[in-house]
Amino acid sequence: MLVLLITCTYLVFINVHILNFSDTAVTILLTYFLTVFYQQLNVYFLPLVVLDLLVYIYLIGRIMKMFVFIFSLAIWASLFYMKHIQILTEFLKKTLILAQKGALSQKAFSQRLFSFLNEHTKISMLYNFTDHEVWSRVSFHCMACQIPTNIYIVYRAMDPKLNGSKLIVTYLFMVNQIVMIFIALMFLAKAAKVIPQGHRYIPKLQCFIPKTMLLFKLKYMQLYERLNNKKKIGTAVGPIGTITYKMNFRVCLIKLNTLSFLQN
Amino acid sequence: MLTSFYKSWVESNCHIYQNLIKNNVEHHHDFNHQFLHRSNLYLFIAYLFRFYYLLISTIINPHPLKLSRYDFFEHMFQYFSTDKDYFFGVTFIMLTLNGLLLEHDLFFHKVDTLSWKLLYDRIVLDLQIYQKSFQSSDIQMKLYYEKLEHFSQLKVSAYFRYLPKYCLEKYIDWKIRLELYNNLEFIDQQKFGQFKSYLFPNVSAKLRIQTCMTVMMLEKVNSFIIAMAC
Repeated sequence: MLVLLITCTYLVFINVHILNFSDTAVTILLTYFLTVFYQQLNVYFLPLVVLDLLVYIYLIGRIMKMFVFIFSLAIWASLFYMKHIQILTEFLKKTLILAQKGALSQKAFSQRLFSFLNEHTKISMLYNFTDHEVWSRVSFHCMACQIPTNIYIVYRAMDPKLNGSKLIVTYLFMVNQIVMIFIALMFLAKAAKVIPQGHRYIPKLQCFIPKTMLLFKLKYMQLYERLNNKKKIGTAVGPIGTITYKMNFRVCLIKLNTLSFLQN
Repeated sequence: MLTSFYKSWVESNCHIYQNLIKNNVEHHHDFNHQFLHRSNLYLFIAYLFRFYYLLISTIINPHPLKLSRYDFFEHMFQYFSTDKDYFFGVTFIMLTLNGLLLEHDLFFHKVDTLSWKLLYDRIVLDLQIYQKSFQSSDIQMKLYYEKLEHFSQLKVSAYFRYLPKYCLEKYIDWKIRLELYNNLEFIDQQKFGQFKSYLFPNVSAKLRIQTCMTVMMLEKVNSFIIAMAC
């Protein structure tokens, strides 16, 4: 959701500032200066105008920089956690195969069980903790700021007075948004899908844990319950919920429904 | 002077990802850092009020204060907007509000917490180790020529056989380079593995190198996007 929102805001920035409001950015700048010279007819204001423009460009650059920063962080974090968890699940699968063959001594088996449990809980806790601390709040802010702009764009598309080019741009914006949402959410949804993947091997593994390692049995039971819980581990959008494939599908469906409603 | 300014600008944008985290963690309590971000915050607030006024003045027309004489942006906005175009002010307001909230969330958050420690450990320190542990140029050339010899023994596939010689050479060159990057042979993995991370001691060196590579790649893409946008 984080990535989606940032990409959407980026798209809003491009479409609103460059395409939709006027034809190009150059015309905006030109008209800005022209209005100053031909409407105000006061040259003393020129340094003020230049300063104003520079501050405006600086602020847009600043927003862009922050969006890009969060965007890349979300991609990087999801890829890193996903890859690490994939390696861990492969490790668990390998231990299960070795245990089935009886190729592991009790000490090696316990060491493997301990290392998986330790690393998996550490990673999932870190993922949840860091998400709750900063990123869920950030993504929620991004989403909350997107809602009015989306409402306005739907309202604008419903206007019968709109000309051809303006209507095309608004529709292009909406289609762009749907595609970018879908792509951006897929990364985070994939990460949320991969994290509880290890639970498939745990019931089989429980059979091979001997009675002497009762603590491991209990801990793996807890891990299984934690992974099968309804509350998924992954990036969340504030209090709304974690990003999964289901959520991705729902969001895209809502967007497509608005499009179909507008066409009718 | 211009070239030096351009170089510094490129350098600051090339390592945008690393620099942001490094500055925020290492110089969080410094006066310059605080001053920069506080001034950004106040600028955002000022522009927020400016855009609010833009909306209000278009709705209540003619506004008694008539500040559009002095605010050029508002003047331009009113001059070119037709029908309900003035509602674009909402998007401007939301963008600035978003920027304000992001600035507050990212740069006025506690740095001692785990989330920033994790970022610092994973990105800043790992990238420093990554930049130090490249293979020497002799070893890289040796690996390159070994691959080239191996490639020359193999038959080139039917699609590329009829290419011109220059294009074929370039294709082989890029393929070898990509293989070197893909197999992580351009970096000394043993040297990289000596420096273990504080938070993730059990993560393999291969995965750490891959994450560093993704960071580098994202940085290049981001710098291109920012350059295009600005």
